[in-house]
Amino acid sequence: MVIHYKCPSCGDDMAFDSESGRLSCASCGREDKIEDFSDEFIKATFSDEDGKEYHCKNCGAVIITNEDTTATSCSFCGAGVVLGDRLSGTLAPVKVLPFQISKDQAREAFRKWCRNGRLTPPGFMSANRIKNITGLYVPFWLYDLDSTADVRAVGTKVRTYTRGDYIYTETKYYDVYRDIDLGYAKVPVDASTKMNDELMDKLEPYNYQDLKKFKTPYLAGYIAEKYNYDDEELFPRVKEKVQPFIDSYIHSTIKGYSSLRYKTKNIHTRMHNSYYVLLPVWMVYYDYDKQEHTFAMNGQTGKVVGKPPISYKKVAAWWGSIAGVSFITLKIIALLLGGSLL
Amino acid sequence: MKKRELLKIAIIVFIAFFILIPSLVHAEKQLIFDGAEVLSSGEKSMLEDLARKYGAERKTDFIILTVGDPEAGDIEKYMADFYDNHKPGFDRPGGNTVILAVEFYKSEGKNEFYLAGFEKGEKYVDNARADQITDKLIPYLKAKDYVGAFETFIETTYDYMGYRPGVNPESIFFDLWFQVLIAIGIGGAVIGVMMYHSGGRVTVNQGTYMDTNKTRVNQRRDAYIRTTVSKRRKPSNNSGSGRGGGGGGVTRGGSSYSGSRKSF
Repeated sequence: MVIHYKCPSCGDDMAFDSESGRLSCASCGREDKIEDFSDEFIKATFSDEDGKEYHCKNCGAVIITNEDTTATSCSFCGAGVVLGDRLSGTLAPVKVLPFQISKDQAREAFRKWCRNGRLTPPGFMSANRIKNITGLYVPFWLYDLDSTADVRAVGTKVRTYTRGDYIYTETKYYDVYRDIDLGYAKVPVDASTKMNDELMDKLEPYNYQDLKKFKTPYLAGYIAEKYNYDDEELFPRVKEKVQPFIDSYIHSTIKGYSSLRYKTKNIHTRMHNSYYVLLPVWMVYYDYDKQEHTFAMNGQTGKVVGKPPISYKKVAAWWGSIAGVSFITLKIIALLLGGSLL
Repeated sequence: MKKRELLKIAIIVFIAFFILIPSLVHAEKQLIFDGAEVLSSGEKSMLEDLARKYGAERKTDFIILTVGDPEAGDIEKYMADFYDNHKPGFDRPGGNTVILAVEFYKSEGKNEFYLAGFEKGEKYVDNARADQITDKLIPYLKAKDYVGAFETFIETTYDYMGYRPGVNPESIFFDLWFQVLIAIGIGGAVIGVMMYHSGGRVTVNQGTYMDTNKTRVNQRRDAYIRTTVSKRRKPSNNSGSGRGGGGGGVTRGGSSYSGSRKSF
């Protein structure tokens, strides 16, 4: 089931516009409010047909997709198409966070980020070799979690005082117990195999206030994928993700001790709710020094992540100058204390 | 006109008086008292010049006493009495002085020597520094290289007095290679952090996804169990001078001094 948005006014292809937040036509300027579109495609159920071919509604060409694609552009005529049957039933996202940064803004933001690269080679900083920039809706699970923590620890308070010729060290031991309820809302976990988890984690945080009820027109003109793992499969990953948050919260409730040793720490995390959402990511493919570098940009905030090439010359220059300044500082302190110049 | 010239001459004379007189006084001042006669007259005048030159820069008299008289008694007491009687001092009688007093009449290994600092000397050659200096002298004295020992005494004392009081002049911090190493280390650490963050840093923390309505501490208990007390002896105040003994005192004349006693 291919969904294609044709402009009712002029017949050109329509696409989601990040600035207005509406489905817009580049030719005649028509803008349609997405909230008013019907959910018929999402609610409808389609028969499961493996190896099915999709044909572009615009030109009739075969749309090249892989099994995870839910939205793409026709490689032949360029029309943005949404594959409705892959977004319905259990595969229907609950919410979507529409792009708020347009392609041009993304390119500009990426250039700006490159210019700030303190350790990247000068040729890279000019950012004039952007090969491709793709707007991608990445499938995420958002989890609402309820956790309980049952913590037992031994805390010590140490006091030293002098009496006569002796220094006394007094150590008081305390039995520490905490029963804590923790709630976490909308913790995101990337549900696509293709995306690097570490990279996706660094893209956070997204501002969830702009989450919209899912409608297919949001995907028009972008590439979207469906999830590869369901919420149950990714539950261990989200538990692992909140573990440090829980640990640091527990620690923050136990204050005033010189040392703390945990005896038991029973943490139970329950999934309260999970939502399938699509979050916007600009993927930037950049050729530098015969290598392709991939960067990801938060489609809402413009935050860029990805390993840039490192210029060893620049590293050496920074290292040298920081070492030089430190050395001079040390020398001045030494001289003030009476040290000699050499 | 005449009046003005007279005034000029008067000022010149006045200034000259203050420049010349102290130097004349110092020129007469004896700094090496070679009672044990271990130095030739040439060596003596050489050391006098050295002590005068370095002493002037630190505004302190560097004095060397060699004791050959078996009746002299304890070396520290002998040194203190010398200070009371001769009242040495660069700035005034009984002023800034560092004295090295060495015995030369006992059998080998039993001769003692004492290094003391008075006034500015007490402040800048404290017990710890005195101990460091005397440590340096032992090998020379053992090798009977007395000129070498006295030269070392003058030069090292001069060097140490350039450091602020309380600072260990032998601290590794003053070593060039140590400073270079630390500087390179700081640079490396900063670069490491920069490189680590070059790929983008994690900007979520424990509060980002926390649902504050659901997060609370239901029960907390901090129950006292027991107390343990351990004690250790207070370290003595004159740090570092445990081996050599000494550690300063007060002369019979009431002048306090820092010091270090060693034997060779």
